[in-house]
Amino acid sequence: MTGRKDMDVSPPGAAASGGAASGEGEGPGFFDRPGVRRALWIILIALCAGFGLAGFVVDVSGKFPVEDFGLFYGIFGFLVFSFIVLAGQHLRKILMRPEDYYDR
Amino acid sequence: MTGELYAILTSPGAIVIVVALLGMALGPTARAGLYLAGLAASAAVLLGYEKGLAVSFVMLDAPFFTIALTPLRVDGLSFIFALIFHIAAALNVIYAWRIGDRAQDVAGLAYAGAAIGGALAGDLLTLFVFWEVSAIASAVLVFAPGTRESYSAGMRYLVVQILSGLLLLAGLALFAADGRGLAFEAMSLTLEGGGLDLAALALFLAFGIKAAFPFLHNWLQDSYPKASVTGSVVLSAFTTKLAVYALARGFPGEDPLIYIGAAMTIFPVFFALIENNLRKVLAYSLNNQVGFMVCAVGVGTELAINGAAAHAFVHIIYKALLFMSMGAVLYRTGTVKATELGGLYRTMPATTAFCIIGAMSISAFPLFSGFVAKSLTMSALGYEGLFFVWLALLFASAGVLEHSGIKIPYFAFFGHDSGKRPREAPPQMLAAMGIAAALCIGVGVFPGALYSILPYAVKYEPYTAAHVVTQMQLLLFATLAFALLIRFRLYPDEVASTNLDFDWFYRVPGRAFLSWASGASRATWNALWGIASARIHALMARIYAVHGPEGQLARSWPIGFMALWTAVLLGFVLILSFLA
Repeated sequence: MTGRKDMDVSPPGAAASGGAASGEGEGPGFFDRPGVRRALWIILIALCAGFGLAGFVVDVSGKFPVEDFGLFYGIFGFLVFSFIVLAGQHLRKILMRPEDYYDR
Repeated sequence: MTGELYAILTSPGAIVIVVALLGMALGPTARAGLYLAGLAASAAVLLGYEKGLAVSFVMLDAPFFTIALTPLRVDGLSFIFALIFHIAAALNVIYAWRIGDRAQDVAGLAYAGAAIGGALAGDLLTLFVFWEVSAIASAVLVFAPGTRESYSAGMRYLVVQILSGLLLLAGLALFAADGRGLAFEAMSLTLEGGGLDLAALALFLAFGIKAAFPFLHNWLQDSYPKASVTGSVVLSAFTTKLAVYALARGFPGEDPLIYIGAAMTIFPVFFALIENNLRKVLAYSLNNQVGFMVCAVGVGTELAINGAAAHAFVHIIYKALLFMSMGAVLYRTGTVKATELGGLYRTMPATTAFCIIGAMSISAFPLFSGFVAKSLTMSALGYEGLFFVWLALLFASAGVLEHSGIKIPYFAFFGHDSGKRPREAPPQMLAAMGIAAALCIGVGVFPGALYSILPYAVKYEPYTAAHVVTQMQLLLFATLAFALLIRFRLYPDEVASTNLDFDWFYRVPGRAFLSWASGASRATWNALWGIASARIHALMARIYAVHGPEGQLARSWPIGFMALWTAVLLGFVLILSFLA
């Protein structure tokens, strides 16, 4: 597949095409550092708390009564996302086939 | 007539197609330059038109049959689609510059020209011509990689696209036969008397196939991920959005579209979750986004049609950006399978940043383009009091965040480190992604420019405190759910697999049935031919035995023959005299 003319998979600094370079021997990437990860968690939780509280400060009422509750969108987003991921993966039991299913 | 002909030959769709063909004779750089200049000229022509322009002429004026065509119509609805098709085509030219594949470049721009011509078509016959040109030109992009799987997908793609064209042809023929003319205006699926309008239904299905309605959708997920690096970027812009335009023009306010659109927003979310090929995830995502537009067309109010048009406009840009970022990954690593990717942000930081901008735009974060467009549709649903449809689209909005907002950037650029350290994307690809990213942010921050070109005059403020707070809640809490699911290892691992979808019905049992039917028809033919030829052989042998050189009658051939014919004639005369 990598021989296709619309691809160029040569690694940094390499003269000829070949497999991409591996990352052995280098330190953890920026987003793999524990401090950065912790900071991302803190930012996410702080933003959730901030906008969650804002729902009770700002008038968020809309066209439908459910919107009157200040945290409706937050709870809905959390539950729906969890449902999609937790329930959706079970579709694999019915739909999943080997990768070359249609080529055999 | 001469003036009309001149106007048609210098219309944007015609200019772009001619420029595409001229580029065939040039090298990659000259071709890209010519294409950008041609698109600029064509866009200048489009911008120079006055709204309400319609160029018509009578093609045929027979006593009982008149065909009047309007190959060029510029109004609020056609203008915004024609304009965004120009922008998408220009982005594609820049993105494909590096690869410089002649066939794909020519086909890609001709395809864009066909989409522009289709959007500006004021009659069904002109629409049909551009509809078919777009089908054939786009098929070249699916065939382009030259692999066995892209060949098979291309053939399936072509069959489906041509079927859509045939339905369009049937619909316009029925319209003409009914004496309703060929003007492409709003119509209804139901006749005034209450029956089903078959002509309108044929058009509805023709548009529905290209818009990838549920059960008619698999051509999209089948073909787009198998197209070339640049091909899928080009494909993502035109076919489905031309169909959205056609629905907005032909069937605004058609109730079934509300529910078809709502279904389209939801079911791809689950398929995208379990899909390993990230370009196929984007194809499902495209299906989901077109669902928002179809739903808005079904609502049909001025705000909703504005919502559909605005969504199409911004969607073309951010979906192209996402396909471009995955194309860059494919170009540099040779794969877009989530199981084989991860950690690419280390060596492809710019591509990562552009992908995240596309992801935030499609997820509709405030200050990004998706937010200012999707708000129109959601508000239109609110005004119409369609609670459950609104809830379905809100559900789908969280789904969009899952598959396009998080899954695409996370599994390609972050997540498990694949150990791959590819080079950054080439400058031409980065330039195209950079422009698209700038447009995503620009439209998000300054929505007034987009609102000023919507089909209907709009007085809408997306940046109210309530809008921003509620949308941020939805997205942030959903992101929190993702972070927790990853943290507690509840998010499913990616698996190298093929997931069945509706196309299974025609690719497995349908194919088996066709094989059986062709085998059975061949066997039946052989059997019938065997029986018939045996009978004929027997008859010939019998005649030969009697009349042949050794036959009884051949012994006195002339006398026997004359006697036979005399007897026949005598019998004939006797019957005639008896009757007389």
